[in-house]
Order: sequence, then structure tokens, then C-alpha cells
Amino acid sequence: MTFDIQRIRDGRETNGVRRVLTPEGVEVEFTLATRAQRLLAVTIDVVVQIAATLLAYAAVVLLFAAMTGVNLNGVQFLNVVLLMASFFFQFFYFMSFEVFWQGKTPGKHVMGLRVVGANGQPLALRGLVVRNFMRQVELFLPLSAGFGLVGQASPLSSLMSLAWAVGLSAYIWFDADRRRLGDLMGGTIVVVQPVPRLLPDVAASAQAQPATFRFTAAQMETYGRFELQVLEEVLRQGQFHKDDDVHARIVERIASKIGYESEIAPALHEAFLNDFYAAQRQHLEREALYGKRKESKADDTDQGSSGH
Amino acid sequence: MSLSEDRSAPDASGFGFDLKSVQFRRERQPQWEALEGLIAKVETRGVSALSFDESLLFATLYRQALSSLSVAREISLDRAVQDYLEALAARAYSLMYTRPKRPGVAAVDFFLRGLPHAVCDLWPSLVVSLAVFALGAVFGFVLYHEDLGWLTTIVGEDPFSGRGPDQSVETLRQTIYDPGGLAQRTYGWAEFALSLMINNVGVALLAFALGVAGAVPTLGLLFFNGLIIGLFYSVFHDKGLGLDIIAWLSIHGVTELGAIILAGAAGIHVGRGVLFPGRKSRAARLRENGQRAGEVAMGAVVMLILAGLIEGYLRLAVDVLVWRLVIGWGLGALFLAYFATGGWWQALRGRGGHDV
Repeated sequence: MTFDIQRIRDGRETNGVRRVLTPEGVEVEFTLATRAQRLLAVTIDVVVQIAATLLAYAAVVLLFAAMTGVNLNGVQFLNVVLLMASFFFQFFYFMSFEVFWQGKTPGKHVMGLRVVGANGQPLALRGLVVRNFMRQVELFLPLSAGFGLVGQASPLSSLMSLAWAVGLSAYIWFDADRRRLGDLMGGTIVVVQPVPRLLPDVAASAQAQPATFRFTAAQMETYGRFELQVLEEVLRQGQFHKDDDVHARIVERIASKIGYESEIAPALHEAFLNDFYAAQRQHLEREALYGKRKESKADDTDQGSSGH
Repeated sequence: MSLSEDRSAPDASGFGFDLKSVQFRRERQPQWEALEGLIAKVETRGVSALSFDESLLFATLYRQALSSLSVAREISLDRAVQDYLEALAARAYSLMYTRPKRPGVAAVDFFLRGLPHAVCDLWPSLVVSLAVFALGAVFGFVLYHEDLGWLTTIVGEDPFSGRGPDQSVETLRQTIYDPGGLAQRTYGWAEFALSLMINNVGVALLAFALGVAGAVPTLGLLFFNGLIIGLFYSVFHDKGLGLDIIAWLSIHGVTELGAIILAGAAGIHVGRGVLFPGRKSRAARLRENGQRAGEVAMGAVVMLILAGLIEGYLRLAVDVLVWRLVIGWGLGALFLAYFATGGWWQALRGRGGHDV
């Protein structure tokens, strides 16, 4: 089958998923950004920083050339502009974006990432300040030490500070929540921006035409919530199963399991599945009203075991 | 069970109306979609794009989405709804709470209370930082008089751009007073002062951030900076220009070195959290100390920017020894008084605490 049965069997994906307790007392789920995503995001940001610095320089050069003739003072003045731009971009680029853009920088925006508070508290300004001050060690020190290797500084000292800095930056690879040191100190995590997408209700579309098939209460006792959600997934992917025999196999299996006697014409396979889904969901919902929850076909509530 | 006849023959004509989950979705969906609309608005145009009523609505819809989510987790057999609500609630949460409340107000509060308060909190680290720096300076002075060879060993050939022990008193004096025509060199000086400032801010943040490595590199940085100051001073001291160079350094240096010492104290504070977490977990202590020290580091950055301005402009304009001293140490005293207000706040709060 084309859908990932393991993902459905596990209920939800759990790798890298963290729950954050909101002040309202409900936990919300976030998927942690992978380290590769974050590396890409920071690479984009560094490129943007450099490009923006050069752009600021170029803009002033053009402006100056347009307004006056370029003289010696002018050139030195331009150096001042370049220095100011690089000063701002090196120390305040990340911080400003994260403060004024709800935890996003251009790189994070492109990668669909965002900074959120790790412990469910509002993201504090000082948390953001600290997390970005730490970049001095985690990002710029390895970079400058790396460049120092090819520069005029002594290779040995550069190598040593490189090892030192890389050692500290490597923390992110050992943290279970994929935090770097700045995240740890700022109390933040970086998560994938969740995109809400509401798929249509399979039961509602089944309801559009009157049911062709009817089932007895006894026939509804076989399956539980898990099987229902597998069937939901199958029905959602209905158009992909037009040409294969997935529907036929599922129909056959369900019919034999629940003891549905009559013959089902191949043309009615989809209708059968739709009707069965609706009837099964109605049945499980009604049972849930009486406190009987059936997680899967292996779930025998009389013995009190919860099957998985 | 009273429903037994129903159960034997489920109502085939209109079971959709009987499905509580379909009803749930039909009733709540408009609210979810309204929330999605507000989220899109905030994402594209910022929080300020919301009117007062819309902000209130956002909060209400956010809470409704959370309540929908907990209902869906509990009863929903419909995966689509649960997945959707998980994403919607998380997205709304990240806008609701992942936004520093009014950065402008936070900044004002930081300068009025946060910074002086944090500096006073850090006083033991501040003492250590100052001591290590001073030790470095004394060490530099002693080494210089022990053997001039140390100078080139430590800082290399021509460390202070032409201000060496081989220079005559007159040359050295010229570097302190009106170095070669003010007007022509203004831009050059601005550039020089600016690059020094950028370098200093980098060093200060490094001193803070390296605190995470147990503050050992921070202490090294402080000591080394002290050492260089000690050597630099010695060059002039031996030519009888001791007070002149102190004045020359003071006008911006009191602020600048004060900032470096503050940043060092911030790093030491972080290092103490890592090495001696006490009864808290190391991570919790690191977070706590880190954020406190981060405020001090931010203060150091602001001071360094101020020092850069003074170095670039005021130092050239003020050519008189006494005024250099007065301005430099006057600023230092102002900073000290400002930081001391943090102590007053603490004292006030402490008294308030006893009353309660």
C-alpha cells in the first residue's frame, strides 16, 4: 500500500515532537527543527548579512557618486559606513529579526522554522538577547578562527581556538531537544512552523448519498479506532486506488472479518467502504458516549487491556 | 439498553446528523477559519496590524481552538480534524506567546531597572573580574621593567603603532596631543575608532559567551587585556608621561575598560553557574545565570558604543590633560552611581518584602 501504515499504527509521529504546556493548561505539539534545517537557515542568514552589508555600501557609493565627486575623505567616509553596517549586521541582525518578527529570521522564514519558548513561558526579550549573544562563540568564533588559519595570525593559536569553538558549537549534536548553547541559556527551542490544513471529513462526504449497505450491531463489534483511521486514510487516497486492487482486497477482508454474507459487486466496492466507515464511526462514537472506548481490534475492553 | 432496536438497524437515511463529530466540526469550523485569517494577518503585516477588537478576538479564538483541540484529542475519531487542530493551536500559540511584549517598553524597563539591578546582583563576579584585570595590568608593568624583551614576546614587533620604548619623549608626546592635524584626519580617526569599537564589542561578547566553558577563557581574556594595558602604560611611564597617558586613556578608557570588566563579570557569572550549579540542575542554573549575565553584557555593549563615540570625536577635541581626566572619570562616576541605583531598588524591594 502507498500510505505509511507504521505512522498510523504509532498514532502520531513522535520523533522530534515536543509538547509545550500553554498557560491555558492544554499541551500543544511542536516538531523540532532538524539540525540540518537549522544549519541551512543560518547559512542563508550569513549570506543575507554579507549581501546586505555590501548592498548598504554600494548604495552609499552610488549616492555619493551621483551627488558629488568622490574624494579621499569620501572614500574614508565610505569605510565608516561599511564598518557601521557590518557592526550592525554582525551583532544585531539575528536579534532584531527575532524580536520584531515573532522569532523568525529570513533564513528561518525560508526554511519554515521559528523560535519558541521551551518551557511554555512567553519568549522573553532577554532570552532572545542571550541566545543571540551566544552566537559570538557558536557561530562567529569558529568562522573567524577558520579564516584565521589562512590569514596571518599564527596557525597554531587559530587551530586551538577553532577546536575550542567547534567543541562548544558541537553541543547541539548532543542535546535531546536539539538546542544549541544559546537556546539552552535563552530557554528556547527552534521548531518547524506548523501549517494547519483541514482535510474534508470522509464521513460527511459519505453522507452525501444515502447508504447502500447496512450493517448489524454485531458486525460493528470487530474493529476499533485504529482500524477506522486506517480506513479513513485509504478513503482519502481513493483516487490513487482506482486502478489497483487495494479496495477489492480491503472489502474482501472486512467482509470476511465481520461476517458480511452477501456478494459485493466490484463497482460498489468504494460505496461499501464509505458506508462501512460511516456506520463504524457512528457506532464507535455512540459507544464512546457510554464510556466504552475501543482503540483497536485487539482492544478487549472487558479485560481492561488497551491494545496497541 | 434502550437503544437496542436502533443498534440492530442503524438509521441509514440520515446518520450524518447523528454523528456528533460531524456536528462538532460543522459548528466550530467557522471559528477555526476566523483564527486562521487572523494568523495570516499577523504573519504578513505584524501584530500592530490587528485592531484592538481583533486582538481580543484573536485571544478568544485561540482559547476556543485549544478547547476544540482537547475535545478532539479526547473523542474525535476523525484524524483530519485532530491533525488540523494540533497545527492550528500550535501556530496560534507561537503568535500568542512567542512575542516579547512591546519591545520598546521592555527596553526602557531594562535601562531603568533591569541593568543596574543585574550589575548589583553580579558584584562577586565583578570583584573577581576587576581583580584579574588589575593583576594582568600589574603583571604587564612588572614584566616590562624586568626585561624589555617581554614586550615583543607578548605583543609582537611594533605593537602600539610606533609607540615603542625606542621613541623619544617628544614623539611620544605628539601621539598623545593633537596627532597630526585634526581636520584631515577626522574621517580616518572615526574609522579607526569605529573598528576599535567593533573589535571591543566582539571581545566583550566573547568574554560573556566563553563563560559557558567554565569562565576559564574569560579569565584569560581579562588577564591578557590587563597585561597589554600594563605594557602600554609602562612605555609612557618610563618617559615621564605617566599622567599624560592616563589622561589620554581615561577620557574613553574608563567607560571602555569598565565595559570590558562588566562583560568579564558576566562571563564569570555564567561560568559559576556551570561549575557550581548548587541545588538546581546545571541546565536550569545556566539558563538563570546566563539571562542575568546577558543583561550585563548588553549594558557592556551600550557602554562600548558610547566609548567608541568618545574615542572617535571627544578625544580629539579635548586636548587638555585635566579635562581628559575630568570627563573620563566623571563619566565613570556617573556609571557607578547609575549602577548603584540597582542596589537601592533591591534595598527598597527588600524592605517591602519584610512588610508583607
